[in-house]
Amino acid sequence: MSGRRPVALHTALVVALIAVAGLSLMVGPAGLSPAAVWQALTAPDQAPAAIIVYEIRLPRTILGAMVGASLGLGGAALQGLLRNPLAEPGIIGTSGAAALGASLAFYYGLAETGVGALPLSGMAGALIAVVLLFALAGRDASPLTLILSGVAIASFAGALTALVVNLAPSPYAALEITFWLLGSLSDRSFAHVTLAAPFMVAGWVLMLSGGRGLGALSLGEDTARTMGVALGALRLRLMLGIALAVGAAVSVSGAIGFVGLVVPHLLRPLVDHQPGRLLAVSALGGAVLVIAADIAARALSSGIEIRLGVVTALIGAPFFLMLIYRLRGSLS
Amino acid sequence: MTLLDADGLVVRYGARVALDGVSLSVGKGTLVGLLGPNASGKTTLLRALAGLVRPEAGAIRLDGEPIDALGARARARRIAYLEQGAQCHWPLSAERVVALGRLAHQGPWSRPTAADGRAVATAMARCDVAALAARPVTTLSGGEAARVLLARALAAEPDILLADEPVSHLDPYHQIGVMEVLRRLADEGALVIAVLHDLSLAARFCDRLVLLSAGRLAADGPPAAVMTAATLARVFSISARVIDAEDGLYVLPQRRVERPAGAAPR
Repeated sequence: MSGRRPVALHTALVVALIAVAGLSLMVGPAGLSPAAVWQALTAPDQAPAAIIVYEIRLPRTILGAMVGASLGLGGAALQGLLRNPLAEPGIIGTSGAAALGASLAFYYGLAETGVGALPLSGMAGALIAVVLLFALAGRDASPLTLILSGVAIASFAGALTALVVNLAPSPYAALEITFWLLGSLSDRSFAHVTLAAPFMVAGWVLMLSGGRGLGALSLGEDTARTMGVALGALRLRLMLGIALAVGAAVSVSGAIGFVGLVVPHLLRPLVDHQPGRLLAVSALGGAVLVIAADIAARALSSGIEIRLGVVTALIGAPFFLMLIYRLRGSLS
Repeated sequence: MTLLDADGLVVRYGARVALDGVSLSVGKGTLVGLLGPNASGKTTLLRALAGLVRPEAGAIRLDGEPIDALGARARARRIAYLEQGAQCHWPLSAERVVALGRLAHQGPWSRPTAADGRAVATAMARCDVAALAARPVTTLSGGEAARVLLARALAAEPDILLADEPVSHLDPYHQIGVMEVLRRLADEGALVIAVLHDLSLAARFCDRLVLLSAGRLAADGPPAAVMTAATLARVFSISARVIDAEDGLYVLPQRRVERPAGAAPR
């Protein structure tokens, strides 16, 4: 039943990931040849090429892969849990609350105190959003209650973030928060990578362990329970996983939207619509998409940086509209 | 020999009493038809037996042991539940839907075994859906999808199948087809409890009929003992012709009747 195709798909995505990662190390204000990148990676010296690769482009690329994997996996997990192809980590308020936490870190000047304050406050925001969601919707909530509660939390977090920008002590601080919210991978170091990685990996493990439960959930919540799925535990695992991975991602890169919507939707037919199998491939696909979008953002930028979140939104929003147009018959 | 035993089940939804002290004892190799007017507690009883609602009083025992002692997965290997109006939320192929029935038999990371493949193939053949294997379930007709979901329940190879209205919305050909599948399952030793509305189908295929009325047991016995004019008038408030033919009982509802004095309120 599960023949060679899943393996082929995984292989193709890994090859694509290696390809865009290699390209990401080459593209930038100082273009590097494949040979120069290879030289810098295998035999690092103090030459400018090695410094550019190691200090600037490698952390940026690794972080892009991690953020993309978190967003893609988070989207696939959420769509499986809610049985709704329009679900996205942004919808349950996780991204919005993480952005609020990070904005507060900027507002109170915590962002300057060290590399850790910004991501940690972002993840705290994401966790509060999940706890709030469970308090509002309960562990036995229907998908509709869950989505409505998430939308309410996301709106409230958005309103509070606007308030933070409004009250910013100086135009410069307001601009800093606003620009950060647009989402970017520039000027990120290995410190960002090591800080976010443990939370993201924990989130990935939690989400990937829910694959089997998501398969059973295709048949509805009651039937899944009679098939031996502990539904409350499954929901808790997935929500916590999403909060950790997506919260950490938003905290280190700002708000990068629509990856969690686009990637699972594109890959779903290739895994025969199986929500469990969609998880791992969406992580790979998300990594490829975010690195590719980051390359596009760098290639488009001349002087003023085009933010990564702007690029993904420009791709994602029309895609979202198209999806609604195609699904509109079945949404009522 | 008793396989499944329910004793004094009480289920309340808010102020409404859905089950009011229902007791039922059934053995293997039996096809039980669960009948009763709308809102008489049929679905609630089935859901309680499936572990989906926890009765606030009473006990359910499997092989004489309290059913709660069984873990969720162990229970899922023994009891399959076919939801009323069941559906699949993603356009999975029919074969993949049926294969979901094997979940409780598989370890968290293991691949499907040969035994899993055989169970899926057998279940699909029985429900006459082998030809639909590659079709997305969302493109199937109502009758086809219902048979695929029945095959999903059979693929678990359960000792007990709890089916909520498995033949509603099916044409007569497929109604008889599904009843034959359930009959064969019981003949092979399984216990099948099916909620049914068609009195003739229930009388002809089932070994035993259990009638509920307002959350209480109204009648319980072999079809010939239960399908009497007096019982049908008391439980369903109808008069009916009961025809004892060579191939079983035919029960034809004729008209509504006044509820006899002292009957349970509807």
